[in-house]
Amino acid sequence: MSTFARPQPAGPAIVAIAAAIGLAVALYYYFMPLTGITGAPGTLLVIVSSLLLLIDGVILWFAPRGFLFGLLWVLGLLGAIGTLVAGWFLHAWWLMLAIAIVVIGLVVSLVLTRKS
Amino acid sequence: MILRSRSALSALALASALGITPVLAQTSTTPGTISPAQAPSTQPAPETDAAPATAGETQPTPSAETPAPEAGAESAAPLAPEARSEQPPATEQPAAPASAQEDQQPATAGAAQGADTDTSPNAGAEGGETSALPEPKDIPLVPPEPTWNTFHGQLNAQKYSPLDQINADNVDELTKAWEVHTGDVSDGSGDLPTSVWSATPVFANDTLYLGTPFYRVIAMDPGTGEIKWTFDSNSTLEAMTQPALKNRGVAYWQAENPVAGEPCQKIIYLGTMDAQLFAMDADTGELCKDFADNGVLNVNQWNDVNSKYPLSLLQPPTVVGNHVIMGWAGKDWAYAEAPPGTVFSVDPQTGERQWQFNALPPEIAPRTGTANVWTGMSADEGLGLVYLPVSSPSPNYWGGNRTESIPLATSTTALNVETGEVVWSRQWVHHDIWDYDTNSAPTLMDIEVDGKTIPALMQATKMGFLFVVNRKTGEDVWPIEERPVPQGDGTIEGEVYAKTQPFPTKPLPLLDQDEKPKIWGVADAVSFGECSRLWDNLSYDGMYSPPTTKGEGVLAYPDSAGGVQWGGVAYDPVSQTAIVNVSHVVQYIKLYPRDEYEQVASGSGNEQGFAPQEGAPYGMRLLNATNWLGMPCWEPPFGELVAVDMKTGNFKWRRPIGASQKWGFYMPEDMGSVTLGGPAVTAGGVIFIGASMDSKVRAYSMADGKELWSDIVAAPAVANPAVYEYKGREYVVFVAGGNTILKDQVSDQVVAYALPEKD
Repeated sequence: MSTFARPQPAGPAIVAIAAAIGLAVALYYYFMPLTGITGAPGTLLVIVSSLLLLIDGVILWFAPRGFLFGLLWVLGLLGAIGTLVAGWFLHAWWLMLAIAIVVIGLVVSLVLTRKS
Repeated sequence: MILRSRSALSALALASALGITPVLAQTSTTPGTISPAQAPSTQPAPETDAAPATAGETQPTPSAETPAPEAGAESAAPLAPEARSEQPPATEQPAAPASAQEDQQPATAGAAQGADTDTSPNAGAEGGETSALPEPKDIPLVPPEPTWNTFHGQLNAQKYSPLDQINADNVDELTKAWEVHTGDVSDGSGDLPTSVWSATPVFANDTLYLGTPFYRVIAMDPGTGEIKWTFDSNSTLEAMTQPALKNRGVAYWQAENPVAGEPCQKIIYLGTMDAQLFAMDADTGELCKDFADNGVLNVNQWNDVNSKYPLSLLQPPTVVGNHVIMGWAGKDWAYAEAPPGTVFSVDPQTGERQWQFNALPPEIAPRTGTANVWTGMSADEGLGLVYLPVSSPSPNYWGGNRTESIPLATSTTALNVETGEVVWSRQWVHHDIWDYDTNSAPTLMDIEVDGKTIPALMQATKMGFLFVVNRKTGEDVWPIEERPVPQGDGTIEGEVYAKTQPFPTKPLPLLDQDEKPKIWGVADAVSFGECSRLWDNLSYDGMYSPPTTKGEGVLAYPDSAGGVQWGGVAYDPVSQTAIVNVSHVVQYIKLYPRDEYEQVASGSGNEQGFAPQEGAPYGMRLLNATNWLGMPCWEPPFGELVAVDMKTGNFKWRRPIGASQKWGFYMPEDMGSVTLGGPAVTAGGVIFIGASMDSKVRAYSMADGKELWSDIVAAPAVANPAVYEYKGREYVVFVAGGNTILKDQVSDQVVAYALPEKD
């Protein structure tokens, strides 16, 4: 029987939930009139990036420590930073808050691991 | 004399800053100023023979249905003989040799020989004052009551409201009072062209009136936005002369002595792209049957020279007393030979033509065109003058077909409102080959300079200049100097350049035109040096560098889309402060010989792209100087709001306005935004303005320019806001129509703000 180091679900859960909130916020910005970025290509970009972060969090939940985990973690961090930057230029302050929590989740997922 | 001495020093300092060595005065002429006797293009009313000079309310002229032909009218009102002798026959139109220019361009030739440091004395204009100024009337320049019944609020174009319920201390409490979506909007994705809407609402008759880009009129309750009535002109929705469906609103007239029970004692006027002027009862929206042809005046009946397109009535008429005065818009950049600029005054109740102003000498008109008035006008009812911002002749970027003097082109021209005769005129660009249309109504103001009250006029321009002259005479308030300008690189066939151009010494130019604009390092780095390479391939010898066929062309700064646009200057008559928004935009112009043009020309956009200039030996291309991402290659700020102390001519403050936005991404606010539209000012010490790319409407402090309030609207508010009081509550209304020059975001939103109602 082999033993794998897995991240505690708390970290990926934070990532996934915060990304889902970020996605919802981005959708709000895109479809709600008078947000200042309604229907804008930049808003569409953060919808996609939030969705990717959500997927990233879900996969991290199940991925064992290793190359795949590391790759997804790094990609998730880059995606989160990119989304934060985009959110700043979009003046999408609530989105930035959600994505900041994604970053916290990523850190947590790196620090806390579990054996399975 | 004090003014002149001081201004001479200012002039030298400014010239030094501009890198220009002024030539000392040899003459005291004012090249750009003409008097009635000098005016080669002064065109008294076509009906002059049929009606006395006082034609108008008491002397009806021949009906609009049977107008005198324009040509006949012109022959009935001959030009000044000495001016006529300078005009070559229409058939002798090949490019004038350089040696001919001095004969044919007296306005510039004199200055070229004696470019001076002070051109303020205007003998011609003074003559105009004594010979042509109408009898003054006791009508104050600033209405005593809060007024917003014209496109620019008041006929003086001050865009000033004496209301102070909303003020600098409480403006941050503004809330949306009501909002209306007219339904008249098109983003261009369907069958209809894009709509572009820069209407300012008119508040009159206890009603708010709006024209839409679908050529409808909407009358609304000013307190709730509830629709009272609508009128549909059923006009064709085709982009006949413009790249988009366009409207700037409606005009209002009311009888001085209304007849009880009779309709059309108060009238709303709506123009259409296909040159129809509709007149309807302001109370009901029913057409006025006595006006022209059952309420519709076909203005295109007077389009009888080079009538390649209809005379589009996009700007609402200017109503002065019993005169409905209208210019029209044409199709820019398309033709060398185009309809020559005309302005018509018609009777408000019958539509009969009272007089017609022609900007071009008749000998020249058939082979050139435009010099039209497509934007708002202003008027001083006390002086009996209406002030015309006259645009450039055609084609816009080559002048080999019009090397003679055209003194009324690209000018501010004052007409006797009763007769249409020219009282004075100041030309702001000689031999305009940059499309520097005079594009906003001059703002009329009484200012105190060195202890004297001066009846002044401020004309803002695309060049970023604020020309200030005496509105009675056209004389300089602060000296306007003729200075030498670049003479081209010799690549353009038939072109004869003006040797000098007018430069104001005060206020200082709003833009720094002394050298090639600096490259924005971020845009250059992101594009791996694309901006630097572009700059290297653009020629630039300073302001007024002529278009060329070389390289990527000539850098245009300011350019036809920059400087100050149609919103013009707002003015607070109490503090004597002028407020203006200015855009920093760099474009580049290249001319292509006809054969080459046919091979390279591709699409054209709104205010940029390729344009044929049919009939000229050159087609042209005008592009924004951006990198592949669309980032401006020039350094920010891209737009500013500026306050000018009109007692001194000095800037009080200037600060970036709004924020640039692309694909939803906002740039930092210290970079500002290019702006279209303009400000309104109030006695509450507040400036209201939309105009910026980021689709926000804002309030700024008159005192220091600090932003006090903002809100997001559905598209850039590219018109001046309207300010009025209704049932004791002050409202500020923005039309968020958008304009594709700024970005691809248009809307049909009208939104009113007010302070919260107190229980």
